[in-house]
Amino acid sequence: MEKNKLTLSGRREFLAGVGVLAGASIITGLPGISLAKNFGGAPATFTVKQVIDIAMSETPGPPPGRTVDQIRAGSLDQQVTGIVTTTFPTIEVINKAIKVGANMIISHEAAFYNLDDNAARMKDDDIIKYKTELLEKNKIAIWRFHDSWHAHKPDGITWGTLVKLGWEKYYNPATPKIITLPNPITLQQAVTLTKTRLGAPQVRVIGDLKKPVKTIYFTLGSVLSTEVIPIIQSEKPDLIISGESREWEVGLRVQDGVMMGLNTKLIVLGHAISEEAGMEYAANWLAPKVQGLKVTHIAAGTPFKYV
Amino acid sequence: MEITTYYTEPTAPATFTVQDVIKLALSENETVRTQTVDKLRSGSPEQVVTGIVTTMFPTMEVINKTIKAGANMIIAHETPFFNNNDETEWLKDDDVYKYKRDLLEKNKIAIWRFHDHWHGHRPDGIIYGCLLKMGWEKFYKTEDRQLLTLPQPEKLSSIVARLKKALDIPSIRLVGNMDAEIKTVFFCLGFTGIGNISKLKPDLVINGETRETENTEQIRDGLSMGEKTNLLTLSHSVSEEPGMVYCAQWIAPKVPGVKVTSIPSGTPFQYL
Repeated sequence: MEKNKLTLSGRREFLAGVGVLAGASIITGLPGISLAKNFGGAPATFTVKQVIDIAMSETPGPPPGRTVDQIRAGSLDQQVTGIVTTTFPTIEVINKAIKVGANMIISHEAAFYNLDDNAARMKDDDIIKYKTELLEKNKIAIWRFHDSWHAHKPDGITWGTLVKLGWEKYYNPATPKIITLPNPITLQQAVTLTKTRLGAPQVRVIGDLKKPVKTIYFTLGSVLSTEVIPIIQSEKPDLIISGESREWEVGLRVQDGVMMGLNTKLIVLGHAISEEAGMEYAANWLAPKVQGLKVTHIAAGTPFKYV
Repeated sequence: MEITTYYTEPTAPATFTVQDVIKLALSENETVRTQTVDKLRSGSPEQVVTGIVTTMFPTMEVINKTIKAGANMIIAHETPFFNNNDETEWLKDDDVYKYKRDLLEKNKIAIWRFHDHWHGHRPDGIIYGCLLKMGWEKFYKTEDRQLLTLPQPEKLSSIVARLKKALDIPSIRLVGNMDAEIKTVFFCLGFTGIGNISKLKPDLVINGETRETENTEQIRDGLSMGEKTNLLTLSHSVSEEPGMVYCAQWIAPKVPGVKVTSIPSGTPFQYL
C-alpha cells in the first residue's frame, strides 16, 4: 500500500495509465500494429464527441482558441466502433482502420496535407477527392490530436518517445523537452538506440559519433528554428533529437557549431517516425478511459525508402 | 563534389569591386527585384575583389577555405546566419553567429547572396546547373521552367544512380517505386512547395527539402490510390550545389583576371 501511494504521487496520471495497461495491452502480431484494450468494466458506448472530450480532459488550461485539433471527417455524434491512433492518417492507415472495424482515427497530423482550409484547392485535387470519398463511404471520423496532446503534461509525444527509449525516469517537469542522462553515452550509441527503439530505417546525423551525449533536447515533429536556435545557445544540449529540421537554419547552426568545437550534435529522424511513439502511447493512455472500445495504434511509418 | 577553379585571361588589366561583380551577376536578368534576399551580408560594396568563391551554404568551413584560396568575395545561394532574411538581432548573443561575423570581419570577406535572381535567370541557373551535371540539358526547354520531358522513358533506379553519381549524394529518400518508368520530371530544388501535383501529374518530382507533412504525404497517398507520381528528396544543399558550380563557370568570363572557385558546401549529414 505504501508503495502504491508513493507511485501515485507526483506523476500519477500517466504512470497509472501505463501501469494499468502493462498487464492488459496485447500485441497483435501484425508489424506496426499494437492493440491496447482494456478488459473488463461495464460495456459502454461512446460518440466521437465523447471520445474527444475524454481525450481533452487531462490537458490543463482552457482549450486553445485556434487549434488544428478539429474533426476532419465524419460527424461528432456518430457512435464509435473502434479507435485507431496514428501520426499520419494515410490512405493505407485508413484502409487498415476499416479492416479492424474502427470508425474513428485519432491522428496527430493533417488528413489533407495541411491544405485543410483551402476548399478551392481541395475540390480539384484528385488525391484529396479520392481520400474524402473513401472516408465518407466508410463513415470514418478523423480527429486531430495535435495541439492538446503536446499541451498535455507531460507532452504526450515526448513522453511516449521517452518511454520507448527507456528514458522516462530522467524526465524533469522543469525542463520538459530536455533530459539529462545519469551517465554519458556516445553519439553512435544514441543513433543505434533511436534507430532500434523508434523503428527508423535511417537517420541523418551531424556530429562526431564518438563524442559524448549527456543532455538531450527533443524537437520531435517540426519545431520552429527561431525557438530551437536560442535554446541551443542557452542550454547547450549535447544532442538534439528532431523530426524535421530545416537544413539552412538548425542544420547550419549545428554544423557551424561543430566546426567551432561546440558540443551540440543533431539526429534527424523524419517527421512521421519522430512522433509515432507518442501516438502509440496515446492508444495506451486512452484505452482505459474508453472501456469496452478497442483502441489500436497503426503506425503510418516513414514515407521514405532510403536508396 | 570537388573544388573547381575557372579563370578567364584578361585582355587588359582590370579590377572589380564587389559592387561591379554584383552588377555583372544581375546583368542578364530582365528585372532586378527590390524585395529580395540577394543582398550583401558582410563586407563592403567598394572593396576590390581578390578572388570569388561560389557555394551553396556559406558554412564556416567554406569561409575558411575561401580565406585559404586568397579570395575575399563569396557568392552564396543561401544564408550565412541560419535564416533566410539574415536577420541578426535575435542572434546577437549566439556564439556561432558572433564567431562567424568576427571571422568575416577580420578577414574582410564579402558575402553576397545570389538566390532570387539566379532562380529568376532564364534558364533558372540552379535547375540548369543540375541538368548539366546530369547530362539532361539537351532535353530542356527554357519555357517549360521546372518541367523536363525525357525523349525516352528511363527507369527510376537508373535516375537514382545518375543523381547519386552526378551530384555526389550518399543517400536519397524515395517515395515511390524504383521500377517506375519516368518520362516527365518536375524540379523543385532547394526548399519549395511542389504545387498542384494532381494537376501536373509528373512521373517524378525531384526536390531538395520540403515539409514532410505536405507534398511528401500527398505523394505517398497518391501512390496508394494508383497515381504515378514518385518523389526523390535529395536534401537542400546537394540539390542546389550544381547550380552554384555552374554559377562559377558562368560568371568567370564576365570577370576576366579574377579567379572564380566553386567550393561545394556538401551535405552536412552522415546517413546512418
